[in-house]
Amino acid sequence: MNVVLAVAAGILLVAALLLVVRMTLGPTILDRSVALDVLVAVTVCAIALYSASSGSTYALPVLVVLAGCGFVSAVSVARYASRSDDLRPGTGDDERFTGRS
Amino acid sequence: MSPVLRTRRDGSTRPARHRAVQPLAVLWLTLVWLAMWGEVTPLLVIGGVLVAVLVCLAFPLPPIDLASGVRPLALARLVGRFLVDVVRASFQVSGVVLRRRPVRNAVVAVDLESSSDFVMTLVASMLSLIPGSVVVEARRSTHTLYLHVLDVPDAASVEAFRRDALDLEQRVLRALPPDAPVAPHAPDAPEEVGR
Amino acid sequence: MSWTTPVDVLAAVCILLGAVLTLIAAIGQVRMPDLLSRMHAATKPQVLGTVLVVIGLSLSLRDPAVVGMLLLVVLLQMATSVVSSHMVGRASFRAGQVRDDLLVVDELSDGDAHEEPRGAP
Repeated sequence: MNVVLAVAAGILLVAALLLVVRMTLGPTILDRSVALDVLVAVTVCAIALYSASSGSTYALPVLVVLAGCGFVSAVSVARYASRSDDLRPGTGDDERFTGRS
Repeated sequence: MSPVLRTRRDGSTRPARHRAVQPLAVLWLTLVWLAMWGEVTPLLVIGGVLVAVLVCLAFPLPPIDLASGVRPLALARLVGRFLVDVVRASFQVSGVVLRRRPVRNAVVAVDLESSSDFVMTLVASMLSLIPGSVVVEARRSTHTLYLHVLDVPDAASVEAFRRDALDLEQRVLRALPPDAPVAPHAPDAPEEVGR
Repeated sequence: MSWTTPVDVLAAVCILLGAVLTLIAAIGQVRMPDLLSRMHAATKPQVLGTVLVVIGLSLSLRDPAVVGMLLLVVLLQMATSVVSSHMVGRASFRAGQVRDDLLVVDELSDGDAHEEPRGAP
């Protein structure tokens, strides 16, 4: 079991590094926020691996909170990204974002 | 958004806390509370119900007009098919990610038959998790979902995808039949009862 | 050997498969050409990967008290990834970031401009 957990942890490490690559490349803030979203999921998996290897359950509430709140960053970035210069300028008029939605 | 008034679809307003405390929401929140504690004792149940009612009052949501009744068999079929679809979707997307060919996508409009916001939300979230689609835009006034579909080689598979999406909506409607007649352009709704 | 060995094996398989699916989601983030395609990789394999890891965890812990919590993790993961993918996808589409050369059909931009009535989401 411990070997399997170590292999899985290695796979997750590679995944996290790839996501950091995407966050660095990024071209816009939306790409970065999606990568961050996946990185939160990788963190959830990593904490689950830790719980499985140590056999303790005290880290599980962290799992629930991360799964429940991880999307807040992506949603707020998507909601307010229109005012940022990071999106290509001159394509969407601001009214469509800042109006009622 | 005003703290005391909410706007309906036709432009009229209603008080935000009208029917805010719903039994179903309280039950669900209490279950979450118990799941977080990891045990069931009378004190925890009472505390959970109390917290759930407070949450419902503090963060009011519009009441869900859940169906005249839930059909267990149809619901089980919906959930079972959904789980199979989730697994299939994951492996399909994995295949697309790992192969060398470039992908071709499409943005497809799907007009839903039902006019219920609840059904629309449910269909939209299920469509996001099953093969090949992400909801890009939803228009409440015309019940239209705009879906971004991954890996669409030609126009024929666009039609196939649209049929799949409407099938999914039919399964949802069968599991959770709405009170009112579905929509003016769905004359076959009463026939569904016998299935 | 008791009944726990096959359950342990099953847990190990679930955890490994979940980790591999998460890795595929990450590879998709790097390889896919545009944001909406990447969103597919970010929602589907990632959700199933997390769910499998959590199932493996509950199989290896075998503690009834944590099953409720882990079920909650699965439900929350499914519900929230949908919301975030929709919000990000909509923002990206409205900002005109979609690459038209990758689209076979685009029924949203083809239609005429549409004004939502008051009270629409």
